[in-house]
Amino acid sequence: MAEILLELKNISMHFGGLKAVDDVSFVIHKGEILSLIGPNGAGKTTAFNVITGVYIPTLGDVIFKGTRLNELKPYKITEMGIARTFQNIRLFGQLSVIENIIIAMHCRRKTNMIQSVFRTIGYLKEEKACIEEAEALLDYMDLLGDKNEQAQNLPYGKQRKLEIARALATGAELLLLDEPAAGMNPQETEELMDTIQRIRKDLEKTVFLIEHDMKLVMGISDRIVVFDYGKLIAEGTPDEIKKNPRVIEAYLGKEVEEHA
Amino acid sequence: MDFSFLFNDYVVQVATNTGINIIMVLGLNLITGVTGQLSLGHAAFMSIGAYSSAFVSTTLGAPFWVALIIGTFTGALFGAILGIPILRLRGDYLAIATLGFGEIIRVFLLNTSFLGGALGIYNIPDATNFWVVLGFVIFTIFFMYRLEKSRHGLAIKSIREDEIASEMMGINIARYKIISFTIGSAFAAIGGTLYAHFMTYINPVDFGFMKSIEQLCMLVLGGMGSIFGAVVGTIVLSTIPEILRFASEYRMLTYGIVLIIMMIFRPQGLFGKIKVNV
Repeated sequence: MAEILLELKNISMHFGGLKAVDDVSFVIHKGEILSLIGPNGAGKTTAFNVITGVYIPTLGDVIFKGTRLNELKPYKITEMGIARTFQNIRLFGQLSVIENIIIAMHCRRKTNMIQSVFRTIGYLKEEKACIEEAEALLDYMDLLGDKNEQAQNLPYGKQRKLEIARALATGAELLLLDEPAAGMNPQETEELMDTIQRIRKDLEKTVFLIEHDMKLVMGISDRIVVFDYGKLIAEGTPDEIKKNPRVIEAYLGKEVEEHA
Repeated sequence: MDFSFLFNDYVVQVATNTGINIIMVLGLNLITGVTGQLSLGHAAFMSIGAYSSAFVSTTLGAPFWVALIIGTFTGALFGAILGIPILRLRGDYLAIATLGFGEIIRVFLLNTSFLGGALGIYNIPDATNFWVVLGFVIFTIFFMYRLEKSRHGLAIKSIREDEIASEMMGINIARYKIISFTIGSAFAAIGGTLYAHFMTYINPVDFGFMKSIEQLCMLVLGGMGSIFGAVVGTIVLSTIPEILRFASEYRMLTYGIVLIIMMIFRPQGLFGKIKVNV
């Protein structure tokens, strides 16, 4: 079995009486593509928010490479190697494409404010390396031609791509993609699947994604976990999930027996 | 050509005051235009700088440079101390908290006898002039420009663009908000110190809520988030009332009219390129 990268141990997230996530445990292995699916309101995004530190779980532990993340601030978690994208795009709209990438690299840089205001040699060297790396990343994601464009002026598909590129720029090992294919046409979705697989292979990242597009989920996932009403109802390979009666029930409802 | 008319006392005084305003408005620009945190209490930091420096130079007889350093640090210190609790607030809540702080400082000064109370502090040494102020204006512009272009400046801008995304991309937003608020307050305090040592007399009325609003208007007119805009906006609104002095009490009316017209036709300000959602 591959090495465990992230582990959720009996996680519960309650908002007052609402159990958005209820006693959920699963693991993400290094290098895999794991999908999280479930009907609307099943607690998928809440699970992402718990992992990234937006919420502190009511019960249970989140463990990343042996460190407990529960009380850490979101920026600390990002520094440790978990980055995410958002269901509704959250780019730095009025900044340029390359600035969006450079901001994400901030957490890996060392120079202090005085060095950066007075542009010491060390700062200039770091800045140059940073711009080169950002350009290489944009090139890899096929966005280099738009590097000076304001992020908000990019077409929708490219904005989605830039979000993934920005998450990569943090240097994270684990990428959390929240509905990356939302609003995409079939051709764009196809391209996205290709991109995700490339990222995993070339950059050796681990991907954990939420998605409603079953073609994408079944096409690229190594494993799938299924949520319904905050509970984990199934876990397995795409083929197992497709046949799982509880999953079918959650999505389509129970079959009513006919009485003649 | 004879330019000596440019250097009569009156013109120099207006120019010096304009310069002092530029320094303070650039400080406000960092807080509001670059970081996206609306402050309605900027004049309070000006008064902290003015009073602390005036106090050490009158009571203790400290030389101007020492007074300037003390004024700046006191302003920065108050900025940091205030920033830690109130920068958790957002938008209008933050605006009201800063407004409240401004009033507290004013009332405190009004009722503190060792700082002169309602009479203020007078006989402050006349230690500054147009050239000193000009030097500080140039330094401020340089500093702000370099800061904005740096990686730290980008981190600060990302807070304005999207706080949640910014934190998720590894930016310690609490820290950068406090840094920006502290630096902005320090520049307000520098302005206040220069003001005190230029006017040689200060009293609490100089630093009321209207002063904060005036500074915000200068910034909004020029364009939030734009250094060039902030400078032009300040020059325009600092000189219009002087040019219109012949119209006596109606001159302040133009102030309002200019702003209304601006908001209708160019809400991002004269030279602003960005929209700031505060």
